[in-house]
Amino acid sequence: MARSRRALARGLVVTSGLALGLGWWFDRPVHASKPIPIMSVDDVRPGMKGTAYTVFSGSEPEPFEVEIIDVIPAYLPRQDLILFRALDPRLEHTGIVGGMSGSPIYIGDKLLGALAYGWRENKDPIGGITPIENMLEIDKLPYRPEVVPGAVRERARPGTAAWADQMLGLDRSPLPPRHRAHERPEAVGLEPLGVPLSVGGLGPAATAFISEALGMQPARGGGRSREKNRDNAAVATKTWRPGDSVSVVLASGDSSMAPNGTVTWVGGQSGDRLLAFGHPMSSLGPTNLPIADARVHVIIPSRARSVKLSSPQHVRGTMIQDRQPAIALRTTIEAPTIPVTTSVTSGERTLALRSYRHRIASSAAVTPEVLAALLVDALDEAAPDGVACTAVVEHEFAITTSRGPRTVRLREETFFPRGVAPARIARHRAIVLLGAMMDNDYEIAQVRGITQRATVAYGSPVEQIEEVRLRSDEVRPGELVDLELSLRKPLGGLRTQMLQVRIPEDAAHETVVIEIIGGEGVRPYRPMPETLDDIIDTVEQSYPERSLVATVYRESEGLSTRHGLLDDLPDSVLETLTTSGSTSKEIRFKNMSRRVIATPTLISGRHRLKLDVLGRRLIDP
Amino acid sequence: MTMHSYPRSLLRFFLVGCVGAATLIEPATAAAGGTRTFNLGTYDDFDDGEGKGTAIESSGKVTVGYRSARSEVGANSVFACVASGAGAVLGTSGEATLQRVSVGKKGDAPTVSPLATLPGVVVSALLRLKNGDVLAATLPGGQIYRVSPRGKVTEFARLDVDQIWALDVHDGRVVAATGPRGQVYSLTFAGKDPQVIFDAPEKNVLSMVRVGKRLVVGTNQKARLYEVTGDKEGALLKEFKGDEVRALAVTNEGLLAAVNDFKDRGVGSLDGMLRALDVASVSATPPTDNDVDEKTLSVSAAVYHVNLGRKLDVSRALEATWERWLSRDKQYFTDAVVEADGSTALISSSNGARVYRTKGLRDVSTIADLEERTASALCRIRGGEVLATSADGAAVYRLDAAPARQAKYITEVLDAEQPATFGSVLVRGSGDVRMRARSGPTDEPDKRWSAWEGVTLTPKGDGRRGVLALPERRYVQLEFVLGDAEAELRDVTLFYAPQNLPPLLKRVAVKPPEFDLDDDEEPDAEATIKWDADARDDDDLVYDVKIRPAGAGDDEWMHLNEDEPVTKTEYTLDLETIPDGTYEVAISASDEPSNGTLLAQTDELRSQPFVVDRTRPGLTGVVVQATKVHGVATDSGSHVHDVTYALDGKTFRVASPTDGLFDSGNEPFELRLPKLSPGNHRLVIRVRDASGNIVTRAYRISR
Repeated sequence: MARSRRALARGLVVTSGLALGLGWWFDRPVHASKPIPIMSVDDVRPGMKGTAYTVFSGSEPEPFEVEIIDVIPAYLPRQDLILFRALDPRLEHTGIVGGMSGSPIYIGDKLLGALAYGWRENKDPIGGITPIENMLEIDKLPYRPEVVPGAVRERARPGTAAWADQMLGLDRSPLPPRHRAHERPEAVGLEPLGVPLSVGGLGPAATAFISEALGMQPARGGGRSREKNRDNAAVATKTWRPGDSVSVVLASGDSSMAPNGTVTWVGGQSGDRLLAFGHPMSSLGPTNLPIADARVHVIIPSRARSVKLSSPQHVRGTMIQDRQPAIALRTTIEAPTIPVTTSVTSGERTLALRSYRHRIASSAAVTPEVLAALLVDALDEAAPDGVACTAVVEHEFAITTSRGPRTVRLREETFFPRGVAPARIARHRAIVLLGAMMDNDYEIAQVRGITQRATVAYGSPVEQIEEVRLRSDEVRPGELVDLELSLRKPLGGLRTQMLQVRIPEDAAHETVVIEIIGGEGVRPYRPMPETLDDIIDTVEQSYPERSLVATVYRESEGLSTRHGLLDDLPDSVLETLTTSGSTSKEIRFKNMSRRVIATPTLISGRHRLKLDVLGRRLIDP
Repeated sequence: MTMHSYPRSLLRFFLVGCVGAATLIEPATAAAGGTRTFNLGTYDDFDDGEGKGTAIESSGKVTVGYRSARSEVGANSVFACVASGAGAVLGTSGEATLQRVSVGKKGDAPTVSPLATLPGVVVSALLRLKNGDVLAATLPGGQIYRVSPRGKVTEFARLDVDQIWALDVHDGRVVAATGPRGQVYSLTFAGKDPQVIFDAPEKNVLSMVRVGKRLVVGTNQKARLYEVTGDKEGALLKEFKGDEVRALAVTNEGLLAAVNDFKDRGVGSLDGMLRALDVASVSATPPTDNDVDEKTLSVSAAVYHVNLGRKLDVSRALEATWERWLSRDKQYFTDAVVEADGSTALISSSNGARVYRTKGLRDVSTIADLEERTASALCRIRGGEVLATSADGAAVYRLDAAPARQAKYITEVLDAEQPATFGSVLVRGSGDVRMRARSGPTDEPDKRWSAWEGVTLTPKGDGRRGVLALPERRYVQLEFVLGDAEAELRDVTLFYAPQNLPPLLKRVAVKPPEFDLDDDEEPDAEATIKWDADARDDDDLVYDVKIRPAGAGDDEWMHLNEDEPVTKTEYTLDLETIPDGTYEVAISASDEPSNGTLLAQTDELRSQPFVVDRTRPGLTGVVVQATKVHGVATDSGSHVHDVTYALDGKTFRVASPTDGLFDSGNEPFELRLPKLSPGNHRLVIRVRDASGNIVTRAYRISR
């Protein structure tokens, strides 16, 4: 089959009157020892004919003819854009196809650049070429594994502040709103072709989640068969050629996620240096993500943007740079991956325990989202209906920090009123903490393995605090006050619960605030962190979701420092220790005492009572 | 500093001369020509400014004092200080470090070198042992470390407390004042055998001092003073008004206590604080938008002294009179130390990092004004010198390092409330006093302020006079350099004329004569004219009131106050003096008393038209038919208000208008008499118009 295709391709070359000199290209691997001659943008003239190579089906690149329309100088910063029209009848129908990004285009025997840009919903197969001169600059950039976790992101925000916002729901520094494809303003110019995210083995919810999270167009492809998986050692070496289909492997195993494109240029002594895409994948800057050769199943023509359907094959190297004109790949570098085991079961025993194994890419920019997608998929499998359910998710991260190996365990129970909501899963403490461990102001943890176990149960074990009523006549120091809580059940009906809170001994003639809130709505007081382990400790410490937390907040204040909490300070000491002329400012907090009461349900709502405490009782009742 | 008006103060300045500055700053209410003055003459006035090398004395003068020699300390704050060898050891916060301080020859800055770094945030208490080791307690937790003179750190003891506030030696053992259970621990010099020897009801034992062989402690929560007697309860010696006894010191004759009184903080900032704590606990980045900082601290502080007699009998503290040597608002005291003479105390304060010297009830001076925010600790080192430390910017100062050769004093920024012309300055003092001044548009001097301008002072009577040539700005600041050891500054008066804002009349209302339905007589023929006026710049105002028929020309105004201007915002109009008609009044306000005729500004406001009606109503056509009586009430000035009648001298009753309402100047009315007995009867009918004018007619009815 491959042989016949090659013959067809060769025939096309001949019949379309291309330079015969290109015939060698299919017969021999290309090595940088014989550098491919390149054509400068300055030499490009309208009307020039050229040939592009891409995989239409299978794994063999095939040529198609193009004609240069014009050059747009300085289309991007320090980057021109060459406009072309594809003359191949196959593209008349599909237009420029997502996944063709990176397809090399030659004028004669000189490499001009990579097919990289197109119009959304265009009627003619007109696209844009990223000049090879710009792409080669990326090849010169070094492999920078040490900076990978904090790599430049298009949506970059200051290290820990961003995920702290997510975790605390503060909305201090929100991400810019992400536009869904149909919400985007109509494109009036060329735009990068977009990287089709080949997704295999994932359900629709996870597919939608991960493609939105990464801003890529989902294309349901496949993974590698289990048989091939087992036979990894026997994989034949691959000789890369321009036009080959290439995928960046974000997750592989029982399901896969792999953005797909085309190799533009192969260089290096042994053909180990590749440039692809002709535009960025996600503008991550220095990266360390695994790449694989890919097999194209078919091109799906689309009015909006046609895409290649592909499946990643074997991991064969690393994407080391993700930049404006290209992604740079090295076949000799092995990218780190994180083994992930995801298991899910249903509380109703309608679903036997299922377990999935993956290896996911290690990058602060994508790993949390990929892990969340696997969790979304597992939960969606266990509770695909849009009805009320709860999910208990237990995470175990095997990590190594500068203090040595440790296992981080987190448990979180979440109520979904209308089926599993992927966006809420992405804000699970564990998912956010994973991002923090890979991107924070202190150090980058090595994540050695992740286990996530989910148990899903239908029902609404949630109660809303409707009212809190003070039942005691007097509020006096050292005494218990009786609070009557009205808790509303989801489908109506009120339950009353009595709660006793002790007023501190020293609160005479003071105003106190009693707060009643569910366990997930409040956090233990923690000092400012000094290390990543401090942050992990803080995130690990939380109150059970199924609990009521009653807090008595005081007028007096304490200080949170990097070395611990200083509470119950005398006023003059507190004031003396509070610095105002220093950026490492201590944080003041209200002293408090707290009581946690287990409940059979999750609690929502928060109520506060402001009470004036009387003096100490002179005569015991 | 007080602001008051010229010329009464100026007059008094010349008349009274040097009788006393206190009389000069008495506020005056009169003003003339828009001239006002800033006066500085008392200790409090001068204490609001800043000095370097100055001493601000309680008698109200600035003199050349002592020069402080400063060295920085590498920490957020210095929290504790203990004399050690010829120098001292400091304990810091931010990071709990010990810093060794050495002092060289008189006048040189102290030398600071790191001694040790301890686990924790704050070194909260220090004690020097006889062998030269220092015991240092740290926060958080009740850990005490022993640090050798070479910086070797060993764990001394760990007490079951959260905080240790003071360390001392008592009865051959180390004692530690702790919180938050308000206990005093006693330990051996090896840090063993910890015993609670005192347990207060209060949360913290914050201060501790030995008085002879007895141990006295001060508490926080209630500002109480206890003697530690051996049994855990101790003996209560004194309860001060306040929250904490922050520092204790012993004089030759008594005990001195620095007491702070913090006002309630409230719980309003709870949400902001919770958010800030949550953010900081995972990101170490305090939110920049939190709203809990920089609240004005509501606190006052006082230093009390009790005379215990020459034998320092602690029991006398219970019944002897505690004299208040020093009190201050908006600041708290952090430490107290007694100087080598045994009778003079130094007090460190939070406000502008000042150090006060006090020797008695009326003997207070400000001897140092540290550069940082708070003066945090004091310690007297060998030779009697005192070191002062600072917080929020860590430094150590050698107080009284040497007599200053000259001193500089800068007043606080003085606010003229409006852009002002600054004129003469009168300075009383002696010796070499030089002066500069600057003005600006903001209450904090910045680059928009003018440069310092020298002011030449020339002798003038008892004082010296200079003239400022500054841009017209709202704020002004004065600087004085005392150029020799004898120089002193006793009194400053700065004349200025703020820009004159015209007065603003906001409302004029004319209140007609009032009457009740029950009134048998006509109301007084007086209308009250009232108006609201705002001088806007504290000028005194006078008013002119005039009246004219509504709609008449400008030349028809009649002045109502011909003789003298009205000073109140009210005028009573005698309605007998003007004919009936519709009128309007105009009020003219002028700030002439404060600015003079040439510079006076005015404002004028007119009232709504109002009716003057002094003509009585009429009563015609009264006809009696059986029990019915008909008649017509008339009025030309306004309208008929009511018709009432009385039979045989009984109570007046209201007659009914024929058309159902009294709303015009011609109102037929009807009234029905009760069944009358045979004989003559008296009927009185009374008509009143809307202005209260009344006409009464009497009729005889025969039956």
